[in-house]
Amino acid sequence: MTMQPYTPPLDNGSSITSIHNSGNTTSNNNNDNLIDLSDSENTQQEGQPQPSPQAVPQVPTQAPHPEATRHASIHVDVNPSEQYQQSHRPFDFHVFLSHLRKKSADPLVRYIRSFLSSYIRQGYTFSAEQRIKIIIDFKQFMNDKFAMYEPFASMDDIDLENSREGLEKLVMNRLYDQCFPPEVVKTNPQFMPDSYTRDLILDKEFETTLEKFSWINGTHLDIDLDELGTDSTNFLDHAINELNKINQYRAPRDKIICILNACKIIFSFLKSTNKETNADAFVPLLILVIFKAKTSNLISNIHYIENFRGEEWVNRGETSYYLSSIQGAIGFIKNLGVDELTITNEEYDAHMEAWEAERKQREVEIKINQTDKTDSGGDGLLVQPQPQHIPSTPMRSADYSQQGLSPSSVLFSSAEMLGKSISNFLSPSATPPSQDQQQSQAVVPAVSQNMIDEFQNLPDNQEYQPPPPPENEINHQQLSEAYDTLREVFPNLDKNILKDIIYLNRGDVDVCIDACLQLVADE
Amino acid sequence: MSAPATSRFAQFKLVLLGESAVGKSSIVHRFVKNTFDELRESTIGAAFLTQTITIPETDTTIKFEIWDTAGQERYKSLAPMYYRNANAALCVYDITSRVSFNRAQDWIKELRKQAPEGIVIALVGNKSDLSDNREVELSEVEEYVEQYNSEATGGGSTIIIAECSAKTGDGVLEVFNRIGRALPVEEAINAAGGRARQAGGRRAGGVDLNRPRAQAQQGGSCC
Repeated sequence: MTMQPYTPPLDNGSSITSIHNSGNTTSNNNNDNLIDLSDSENTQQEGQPQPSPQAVPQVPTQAPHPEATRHASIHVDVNPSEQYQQSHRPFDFHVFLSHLRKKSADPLVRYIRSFLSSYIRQGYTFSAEQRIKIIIDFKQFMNDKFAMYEPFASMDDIDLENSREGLEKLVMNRLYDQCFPPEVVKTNPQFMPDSYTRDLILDKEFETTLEKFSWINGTHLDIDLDELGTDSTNFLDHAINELNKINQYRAPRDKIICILNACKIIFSFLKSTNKETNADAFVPLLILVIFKAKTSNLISNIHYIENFRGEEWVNRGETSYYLSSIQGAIGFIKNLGVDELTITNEEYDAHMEAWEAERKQREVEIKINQTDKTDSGGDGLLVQPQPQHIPSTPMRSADYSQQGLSPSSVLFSSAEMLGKSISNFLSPSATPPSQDQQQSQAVVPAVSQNMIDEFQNLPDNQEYQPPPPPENEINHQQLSEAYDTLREVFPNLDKNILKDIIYLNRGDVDVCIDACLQLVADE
Repeated sequence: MSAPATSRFAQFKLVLLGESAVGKSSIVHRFVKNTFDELRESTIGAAFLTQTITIPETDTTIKFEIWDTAGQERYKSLAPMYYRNANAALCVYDITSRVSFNRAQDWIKELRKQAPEGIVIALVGNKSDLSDNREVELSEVEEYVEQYNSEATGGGSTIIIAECSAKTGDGVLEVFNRIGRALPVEEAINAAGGRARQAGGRRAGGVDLNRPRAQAQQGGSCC
């Protein structure tokens, strides 16, 4: 079963400002042969609190540390200082967080907070594609903002990459419940995008296939475990453990590192037995590990990595190679037949007959279980029908009761729409909306209003902003006059925030002043 | 602003195809260890390796990402996962095994059908040190390629043919040099520059430790 090391504290905006101790830094950039996941735990350091826009503590607290694998009797001849050279240079989440703590980075923290809180409130209404696109857009938005605020603005490429890594981890740790189908089905089952339901079906089908072939061992794949030595079962267990950790981590990077660690153990084992360390030897062992690991929700995990791991890290290089390998191995297992195995037809048929019998037995059991429950639906195997989830915030229940909104009627057409709604918020006074705003309100009237309401309830509520409207819509004279005025009235506000506010409100001084007053009040 | 030496850099994905016993990974191990660069230990395992070569005439450094595949017949269904997005394919046979040559031809057929358009294909006979036991003559390979090219409609680059010996190292570097010269370097450099600008200055495909800033600057300033 999937381990659930984390339960989300879904109280309102209050958690957003909390200060957390969020990781154990690089304290174990040690000789661990495996890629370090240490930055994803938050168990160790009791020391200084780190400011972290609420996401960080969402990582599993009791996740077994990859260090455990050091007890393996397997050694890798990789110089620890070199081990990151290709796909994984050292990533230090704490360094990123400490950069975010700097006063000069305050605007970035606000962007992040604002984005996360709006996503958490609205995300359940997004389609699967929108969930992906909005996050990609936000990463791009933040990438541009990194260039504007210290200490990020003067970073070199390597530190900037660390920052992008940190951002991805921060965001995905927090948005996991909206983006990982096995979690979504628990938190918002009534708002499952179709493709998420499909992922869960694929998970179940794959798990069933693994059950069906649970008798498979090395000889069926021409792996001579005896020849590989007495450590072989030991090594298999370690690789299996690493792969199964994938469900304990929330960030795409951490999940893929579980896969890489499993692969790395396979290679170190091949090396230790003086076998050729090539794909001929690696692929069968990877397949065997997948068979034996029976990882829950493996397909969902792979799709989640594909969807939410930054393109710059996943499309090329070593990570991509091993991701492709596990995808290929999964495909192989899905289509497995007698021809792909070293086995006699008789033995194979006997196994299949046994499986059929077992399957029928299970169906009977399921039917018995289902008759016990009154309202189980047709596809009970996949998603047990859940009682209608009562929305946790009054705001949401108001939505449903008043507007009777179906998910599709409140869908945002794109991330832009999300941005527009936020920009609506930035002009909270009752000024006539611009044409764009009228359009967006026409499409999603209830939600736009709700978003404004919800944002006003936030302690920090003016962060994530869409790219400014096209230049030609803006009268530059007006903008620069508005800027001068605001600088006089609000000398303490960050210049760039002022500029953003002015852009978003098309230089309307009165609206801008309202927005700034809100800002000052918050501070 | 004139570019400093070896300022042009392009990265390509090369997939290795061929039967199990033909020694395709040995060729790569030889290539990776034998060339002027120090051995770059991969972080996970030797099925994925990288190596760079320099093409002096065009002042270009080419980094190969080399993807090994399992050669056993039963795993051939995995191959598409590996050759998608590949820029080059090295189809290896053993000159002492006709069967392996037939298998390499099958790979070429499949690549022409399914691999990305414009993929550079090299058909390479390994174990040239064992020419006493030769079953596949080079002239025969030339004939096959000539015929194949004339039959292949709708473009596709010419297949590179070569023989080498992973054991002695003969001809190995030459294979990669010839592939490097056949690759669309200009296109890759321009595309990388475009992506870099799009992504706010960062280069797609990760940052190469050896040449971080110079590259990004060049990408930003050249167009």
